[in-house]
Amino acid sequence: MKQDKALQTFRTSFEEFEKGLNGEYSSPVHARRRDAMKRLSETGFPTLRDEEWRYTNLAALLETEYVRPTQKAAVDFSAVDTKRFLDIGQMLRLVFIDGVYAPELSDLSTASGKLRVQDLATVINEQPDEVLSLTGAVDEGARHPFTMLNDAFTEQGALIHVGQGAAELPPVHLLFLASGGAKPLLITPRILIRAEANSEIDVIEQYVALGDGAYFTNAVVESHVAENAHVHHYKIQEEGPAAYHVAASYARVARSGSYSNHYFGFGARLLRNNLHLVLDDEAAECTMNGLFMPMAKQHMDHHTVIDHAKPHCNSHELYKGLLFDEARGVFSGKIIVRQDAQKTDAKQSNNNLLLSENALVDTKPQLEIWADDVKCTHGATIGRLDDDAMFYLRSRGLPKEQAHSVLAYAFASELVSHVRLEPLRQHLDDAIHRRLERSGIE
Amino acid sequence: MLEIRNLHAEVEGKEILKGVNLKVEAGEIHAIMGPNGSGKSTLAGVLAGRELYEITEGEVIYKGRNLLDLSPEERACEGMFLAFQYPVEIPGVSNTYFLKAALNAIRKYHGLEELDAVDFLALVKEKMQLVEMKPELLNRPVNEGFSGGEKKRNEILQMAVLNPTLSVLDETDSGLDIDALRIVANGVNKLHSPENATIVVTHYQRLLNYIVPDRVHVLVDGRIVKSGDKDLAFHLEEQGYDWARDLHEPVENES
Repeated sequence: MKQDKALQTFRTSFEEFEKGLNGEYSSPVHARRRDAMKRLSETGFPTLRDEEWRYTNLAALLETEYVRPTQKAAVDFSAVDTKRFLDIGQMLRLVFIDGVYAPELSDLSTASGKLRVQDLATVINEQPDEVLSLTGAVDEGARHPFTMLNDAFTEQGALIHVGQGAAELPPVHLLFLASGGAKPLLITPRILIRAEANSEIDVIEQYVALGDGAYFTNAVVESHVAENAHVHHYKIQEEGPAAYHVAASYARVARSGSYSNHYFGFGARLLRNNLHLVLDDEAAECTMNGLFMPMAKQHMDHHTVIDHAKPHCNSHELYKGLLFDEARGVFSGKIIVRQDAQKTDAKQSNNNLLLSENALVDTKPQLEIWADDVKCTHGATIGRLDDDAMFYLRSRGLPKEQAHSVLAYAFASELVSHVRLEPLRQHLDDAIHRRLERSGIE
Repeated sequence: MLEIRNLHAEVEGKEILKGVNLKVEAGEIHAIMGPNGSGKSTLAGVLAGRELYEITEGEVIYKGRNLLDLSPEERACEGMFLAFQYPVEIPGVSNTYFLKAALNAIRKYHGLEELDAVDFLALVKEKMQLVEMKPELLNRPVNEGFSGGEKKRNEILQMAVLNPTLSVLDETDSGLDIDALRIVANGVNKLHSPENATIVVTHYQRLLNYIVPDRVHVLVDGRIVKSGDKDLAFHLEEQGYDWARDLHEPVENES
């Protein structure tokens, strides 16, 4: 079976990884890695028969043999202007090349006592206990196999620690550049975010491919949001046509805290993005917004879980898909309202525009409600561009193609409007327009 | 400017227009009146190029070209304008953006340079006075949340900015109170010139108190059964459309 063969390949990789560890072998972080590899070996990779994976065929992803990136990147990136990918003024930037931290391209000059940003390999080395305290807290017991894979290979990534009361901070930009060369690489970033009480931070996680080759990004982000802290997390995916990307973001939000996740997907041949958020105390709030615009034969799958554990919490979710050509999309949104979570207010919508006859989307809202005094709404739509609106625009002189893209942009732009960083909105607008120009609307 | 000859059109296999003849010259205002379901809106839609309708017979010559060969956007660029009975709401597209895109599409078609933001805004502000429109409506999404009157004023604003040669106003008076009606009609009158022409499609004579037509045509069951001067509208108002229904023989329109 492909699943078993893939597992064997990853195990071999893991053994090689261990050999190169030297002193770190006996660290508690590595004990965790070994445990994860063991659990993954027992669990195995999912197949289409698993309910949570029934719309996403992993065969091609698992058939590819990946190698772990070496410390020295195969491509010389020293001349790369990192501002080219996102230029939003003052910010802290950590750049990773093929998954490996590149200090020479990074800029941490605006870090302060209140905002600590470090590459994860260094933290694992110097403060392993801190790493352990921030990993696995959200979904222990329910980790999916690809998170276990990331657990097993946890080494590179970032730790963002926002001190108590720290606000008005520059955003943190995590830029993952993939060379997309001949050899498929396994890239396993782990990002740990800890926002202490009354703090606020923006984190931008961006994936860009420079080449068209295959590689596999397997990322995990874990956010710990303390009382009255606010984390705004943006994920921008601009990867190559042969890239695979399976990721999970976890967040636990304390009293009166908020976490917002804004996903913008343009790239990768196959994407699976899992979100798992727990509203862990009263008046906690979360937002999950997503825009995905697959074209050609791209496949983009979003699975979100919002767990209302305590009373008086709000969640808002809006996912929009614009699908071109033969692209496929999946949205599965689960809202769990625990027995204790009275006065929950949860809203979920998923709206999809099919811009070609051959595009396809599956949407699946799931509500699990155990409390009786709650407000939960959900809705899903799948449609095409509105004929009346098209005629209206054309009757005013706009050529058909322009009318198409004006309407498609209008549909997409709602998600951009929820981004609070103006220069980032500009970047996203441009990315949406580029996608609309590149893909034909039938 | 416009000549419609024996125009037949169907919607989903049902014939709506059954041989319409109409001739409109520059500088003229024509009114097309008729009861509900007589084909008034179909005629307006056919002229603007709505794909819903299938033309089975006849032709429409506009400025010497066969109008029916042109796409809706080509018609717009050639100076044709339809003021919609039900203007469409377009969430996410601001009114300003829409107007500017439309104006520049037409300018581009004529080989003119696109207007920049500053010049465009000056033009729109000037034209907005014509329809007494609130400036904040410019930044709102097209027609979204507009009142009935605001939507119709917005149509006339578009007409003012795009400066068409032939305007077709489809039931522009429907849903308007008397003040809004006066404002809209005033806008249309100010835009009228010896170089352009207007076709007013309406059920009621009321609008024609404000926009005085040169010719009035009565459309019944897909055909123009009677044409005359503005007095015909008054006659219709008094007699009702039953009187027109009795005019079995369609008349040739002599313009």
